Amino acid sequence: MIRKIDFHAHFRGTLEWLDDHVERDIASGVDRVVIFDTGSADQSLTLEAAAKFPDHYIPFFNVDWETDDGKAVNARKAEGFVGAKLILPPAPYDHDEFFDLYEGLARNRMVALFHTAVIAGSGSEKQKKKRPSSRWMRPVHLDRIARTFPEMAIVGAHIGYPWYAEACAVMRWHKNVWFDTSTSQLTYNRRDYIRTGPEIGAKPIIRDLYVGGDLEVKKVVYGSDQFLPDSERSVTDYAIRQTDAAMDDLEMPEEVRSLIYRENAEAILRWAGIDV
Amino acid sequence: MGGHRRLKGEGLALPESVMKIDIHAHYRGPFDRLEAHMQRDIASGVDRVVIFSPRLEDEVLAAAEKYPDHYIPFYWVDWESDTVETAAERKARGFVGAKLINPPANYDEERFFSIYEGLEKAGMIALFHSALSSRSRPAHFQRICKAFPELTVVGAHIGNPWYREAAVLLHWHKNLHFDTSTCQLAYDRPDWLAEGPPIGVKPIIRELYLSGLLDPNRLIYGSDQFLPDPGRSVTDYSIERHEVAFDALGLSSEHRDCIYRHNAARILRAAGCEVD
Repeated sequence: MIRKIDFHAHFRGTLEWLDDHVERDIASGVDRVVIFDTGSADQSLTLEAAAKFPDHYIPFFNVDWETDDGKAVNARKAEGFVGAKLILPPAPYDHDEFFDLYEGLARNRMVALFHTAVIAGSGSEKQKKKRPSSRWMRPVHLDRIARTFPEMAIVGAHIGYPWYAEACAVMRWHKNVWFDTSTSQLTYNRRDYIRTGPEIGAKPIIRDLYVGGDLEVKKVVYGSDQFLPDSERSVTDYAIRQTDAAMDDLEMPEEVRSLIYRENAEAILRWAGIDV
Repeated sequence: MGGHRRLKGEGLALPESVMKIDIHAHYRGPFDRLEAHMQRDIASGVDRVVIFSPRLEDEVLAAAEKYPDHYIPFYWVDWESDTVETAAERKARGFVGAKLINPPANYDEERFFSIYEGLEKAGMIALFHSALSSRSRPAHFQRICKAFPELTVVGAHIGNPWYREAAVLLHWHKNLHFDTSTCQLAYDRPDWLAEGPPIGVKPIIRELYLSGLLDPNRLIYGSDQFLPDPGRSVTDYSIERHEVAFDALGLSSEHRDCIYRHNAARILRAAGCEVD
């Protein structure tokens, strides 16, 4: 079994149940997990979780668009963060006003994990206040950042859902851009209103991009999008089942699965100074 | 029509077709190697080539003056300094059209309209890079085509990866065309696939073609070659991929000829260029 790295997990900001959760993930075949806390202002518990399980959790900080700049990134690096999670910007990701922040990430060799997809959570108080736009988080907005900071490792989340082809073009043309597969982006589950056909498989558009060579397998990393710790269950088993089903449907060879599940993430983390 | 010719070194029999016009080639010098490159292109079935360069415009003009039956010069738009007068000045020097790329904002911002107005008044072709960068999306041609209905607009690369967007716009704007560079119709089987044809037509291209959106009367062959090349020409490689894609689409010989020559000849003649 390939030991997996999960590049996309939300930390709930509590250490309760964490031991159990780690054990469950390891039993499911995941031995390293990138975690970030997008729900609270206090990021210190993310560091505590990583300090408690240094061989398992890799801490990213959640960017505050109001206050974080290049200097703040220096401080985050000094605290022990390995990368940053970026989501809900007040303007498109490639707006000039954010470039000092990106320069800080590049200078500190920190991985930038951008949410790139239509956002969930419509109607929440946070979103009513921020008035975010999914359009500002399209994968193409990573293009200008990747050109300006070619030495910075950039990961777009969710393969740019639903702009998969756009994401593929960006990762094809930029050596420093990867995309993660969260939340089971490779896979479809047969809808109730469809009576025949396989219950699960690779999305047709994913198949087209994979067969056509656009979905560059050396630039894709596995991500679950799980929220942890969870007292009773882990999404990991589900996410791996979904991803495996798509990989089976695509008749993906073992060496390609290994790239997506582990080796590509290893290379990114190694760049950031983490020996996995 | 009817005969077959064999590509050098490929052993691939291709149907005879008209001599081709390549609407997308980058001139990079040196000038003294141009003739050998031209002879190779002619041997490959390409007798007219649109060339442009950001820094070697005098050589671009000199190439067209020395080989008036082969090279067609386009000038390179300078977004900072070009005015409404620029196109007419360049036309007087012998340029037939303009290459537009890397705008400092979206193509359809009004601050650029004086450039387009100048091109329209001068009866010149506007060849826009339209791929990947968020400022270069095919959707931006809508405003330009509506505001300047007499301007001949050619978008490069069929808007990769926004093929669907390009095809829909093509359907609605008579003054819009797209070029096929760089082999946008075809894919090469990626290393990770053990089976399947080595070259094929991209699934989305097939879908758009079959649905009637990708009109062969508005597509123009382009190679994206850099010339002169001392060792080889990309032309053979490019034509082979076009032929495989055309075969897979079941494209008629008449439509192949339109894409390879007649569509380009029509707009070049309208711009005052003598083309059969």
